[in-house]
Amino acid sequence: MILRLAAREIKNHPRFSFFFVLSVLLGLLGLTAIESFKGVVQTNLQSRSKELLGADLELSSRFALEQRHVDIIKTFFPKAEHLKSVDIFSMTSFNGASRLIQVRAQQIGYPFYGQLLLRSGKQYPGDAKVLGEQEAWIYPELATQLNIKIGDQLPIGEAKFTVVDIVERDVQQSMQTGAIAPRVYLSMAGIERGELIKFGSTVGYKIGFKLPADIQVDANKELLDQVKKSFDSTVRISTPSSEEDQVGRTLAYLGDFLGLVSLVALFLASVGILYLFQAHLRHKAMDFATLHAIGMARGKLIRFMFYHLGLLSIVGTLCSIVFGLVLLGPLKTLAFQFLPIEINNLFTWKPFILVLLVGVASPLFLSIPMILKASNLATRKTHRRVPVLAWAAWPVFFALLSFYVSKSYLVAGAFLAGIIIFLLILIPLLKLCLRFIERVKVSNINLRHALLRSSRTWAATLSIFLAVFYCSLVFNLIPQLRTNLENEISVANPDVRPSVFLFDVQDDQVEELKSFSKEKSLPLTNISPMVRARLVSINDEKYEIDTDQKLTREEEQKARFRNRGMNLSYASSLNASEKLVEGREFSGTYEDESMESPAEISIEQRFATRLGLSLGDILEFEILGMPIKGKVVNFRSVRWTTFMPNFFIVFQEGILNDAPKTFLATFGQLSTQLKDKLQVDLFQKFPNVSAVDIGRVIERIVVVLGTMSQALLMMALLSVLVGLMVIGFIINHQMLTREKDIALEKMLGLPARSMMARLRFEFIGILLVAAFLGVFGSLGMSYLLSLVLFDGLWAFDPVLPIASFVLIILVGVIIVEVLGRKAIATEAAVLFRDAD
Amino acid sequence: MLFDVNSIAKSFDTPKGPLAVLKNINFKVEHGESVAIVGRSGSGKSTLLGLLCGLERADQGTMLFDGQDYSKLAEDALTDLRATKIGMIFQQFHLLSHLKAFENVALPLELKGEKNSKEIALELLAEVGLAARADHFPAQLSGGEQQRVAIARAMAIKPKLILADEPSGSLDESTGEEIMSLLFKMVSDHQTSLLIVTHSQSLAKRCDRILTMENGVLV
Repeated sequence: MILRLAAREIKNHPRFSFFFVLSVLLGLLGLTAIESFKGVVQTNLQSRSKELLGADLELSSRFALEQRHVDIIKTFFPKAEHLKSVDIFSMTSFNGASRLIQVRAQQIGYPFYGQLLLRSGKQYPGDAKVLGEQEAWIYPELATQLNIKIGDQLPIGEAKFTVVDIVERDVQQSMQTGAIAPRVYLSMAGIERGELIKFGSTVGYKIGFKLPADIQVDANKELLDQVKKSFDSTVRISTPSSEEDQVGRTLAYLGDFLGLVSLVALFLASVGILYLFQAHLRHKAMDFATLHAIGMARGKLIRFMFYHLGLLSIVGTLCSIVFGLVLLGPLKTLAFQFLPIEINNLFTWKPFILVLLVGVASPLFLSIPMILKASNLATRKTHRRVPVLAWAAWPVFFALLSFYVSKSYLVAGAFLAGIIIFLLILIPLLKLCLRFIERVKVSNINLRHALLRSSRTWAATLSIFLAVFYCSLVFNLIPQLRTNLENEISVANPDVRPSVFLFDVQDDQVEELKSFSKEKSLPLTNISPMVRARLVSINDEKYEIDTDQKLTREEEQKARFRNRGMNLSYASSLNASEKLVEGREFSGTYEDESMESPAEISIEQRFATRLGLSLGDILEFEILGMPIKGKVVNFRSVRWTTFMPNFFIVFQEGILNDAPKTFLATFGQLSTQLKDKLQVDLFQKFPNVSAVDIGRVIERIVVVLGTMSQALLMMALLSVLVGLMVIGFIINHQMLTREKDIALEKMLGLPARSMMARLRFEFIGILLVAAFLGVFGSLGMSYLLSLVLFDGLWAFDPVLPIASFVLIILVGVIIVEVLGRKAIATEAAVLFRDAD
Repeated sequence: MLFDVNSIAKSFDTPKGPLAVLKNINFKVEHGESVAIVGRSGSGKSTLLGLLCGLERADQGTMLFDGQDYSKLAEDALTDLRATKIGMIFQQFHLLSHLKAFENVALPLELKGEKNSKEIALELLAEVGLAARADHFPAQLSGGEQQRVAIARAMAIKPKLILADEPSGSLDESTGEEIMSLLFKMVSDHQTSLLIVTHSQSLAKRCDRILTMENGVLV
């Protein structure tokens, strides 16, 4: 019976039902699209996770993997087959141009899963002929960049290789290096022939294992833990699911960010739902009292209101799911930028269940206090207070949701803090401002009445204010952050930025390189030694983290950060991109021959914060099995985007000078012609040295950033749309509730133009103040973020804030003009309807 | 003569064709006179009120107010007429909920450009016995108090005519009596004409004259 009554209620109030459903629909749209997109990506990755890894289990290391490593795996999986592969950065030169490449060689039959598709139409492993000692397959980017054709001879290392085919599709394509260093496949014998592996070369060694079909290594956590514990931290163990996480990580982060922006839309829609529902309950107060008077108990009354809301929420959510699928298309094209595999329409229920849960639960939690209040009023129990828990339900729900979406305590905490600030600080503060406005004396009667109205109908004023404020904030913040990022990467200090970055320079090549640059009059700068090490302990406490348990995004990041190897350097003083922040300079050269006393070390300040280091802390490293201790004497800031060789940890001169090391170096500003020639000359003289063209790196970063910010902007636009909708229906509702007031003002002799002037003063006034504060707030936030993320390099682009301000105001003005004129056209005869 | 209504008629278009709501209405109101129009629901009283206060225009006939013909006045002039010469009182009081009692009373004065609107409003509220409630919002006042504010508001512009639409219709009998006594006293003190539309015979009997309306015709 109650359910039937609730259904009838929906039918009897079509306008309220429509706006409510629309709010839920648009509020959830972003979340639906993002969650279903994440679901599709995850399902695709899951279904192809073995292909992504190429094996059931893989060992990888920067150090050569030996038979003993294989033997350890064999103790766990005696029937496992294994094959090796290596990756090396190298240079190649063709048609007068040089490029950094990633050379991969794998034993015949590897990968165990997944195939390379070649331009000839053949597949490897499959019908393609195995690569000979002198043969190579190359990526299409390299073929295009250097104009290489099949049959051409490509010099790599100390030998030449014939290009026999082009790789059209490679599931194990590396996303990080793919665009900067295109891949070239050689045979294992080819690697030896080219003498590509030398001391200090950046080599990745891998051994892939194929396990019997009945062993699912990911399914047996305990066994996997035991396997992991059998190796030291220089060896990484990957499984199909860890590879799936690895490949999907960039997209997962992007998905998390998009999810957060979509939560802003949900938050704005919630403001609208809150406003709509409380207005509806107020409108229905008499009906509820009547229902109670004719015998409906309080409990049933509450159920009736919940059913009504629940039914509307379900309709809104289902509509949102249908429309959300439409947004999947553009999001899928985005995935091509980040994933090596095509995204197929694999269906999964999980995101839809989540959206349904959120779509129904959010309005219900939101409405608990209002429904309790309305039922108290209807049953004349106005002395009853709504319990605090009822008010807390929605903020807690929203915080949990933001944690689910972002997988981050920090972000969820920030959201919860935002809501609490909103409830406990912003609303009282705005109410205080409105109280002040109420007392402002102005001579213009229309303005005065507009001020009185907006200050005394504070719920409507605050709802509109918040909707516009958040719209402007989000709309402006995202492009502003993008400008900051682009500015940081592509504009800042172009004069000091080097053109070419060198790595893998051998110890004995440094002098030769110096004479090479002198001879050619090229600006060789920043020659920096690099020593590979592991951080073992801080003040005698173990530093590395076990990664066996389920981790949050922050914990995952922390574990990855801690467990990887580190590159150390040594220097006598700071370089041009560094600044001393705290502590003192190095005292000089390390002179303790016993090497027992700790050497002085300088730490990059943000790295120090992440590690929780203080001046005077003792860090113990292990360099090829040898322990080395260092004492923190200073923290320094580093401008990483100068693209100079920089290190988190720098030792004083003297202690690491004899450690096995390679060198990094840069060539300063060069014209494009000189830069191309330099790369060719370098390749001829130092074939093992890798050179990165920094301009190309920046181009790639800007492209990826552009794609990401476009996706974010799309989501921000959705939030703006929701915000504008909320503004629209709050103003519309205000006009409806003022129908009689407007008629009365007409009756009292207020001309239509004055009435319109009042509405403009009131609503456009709120829009102007809120949009201004929103844009201003976004600038403040982007400035604060630039302080935290970009060393205070704040890029202010006046066009963005002005454009977003003007756009939001323009749309707001149109809403006010259209709805205002409609309201003023109300016939004053409504005032007499009671009598006749 | 303050008000002279001659042969006015008004009809509305309906899907079934035009519906004549008022037919050949004729009556006069003298300065300081009180007149009651009584009739059943649907007899056309509200439509007549709409015409009398200039919110709607008659299809035919003339309405002279203080010698001016309504039908020849432009919209702005009609608005000005209402703002300066006609006060209105409604069954549902129709106070602006966001304005305090004194602000509701002061509003028509402000529209006239009166500098001392607040002082005058406070005086009027004192006259209707609500000096102590001047700072209250309508929602904080009882029905009777709200109607007192409405009377004060109607009297604020010193109108020549007060149009009252069922002024005691939403009040209990004794409060209604009390408020109507106040209304009659005020129109008498201020020498204002009063036209009341009502169902109440007892209220109608307090007026100088009673007109009865049936099916759009005064009988």
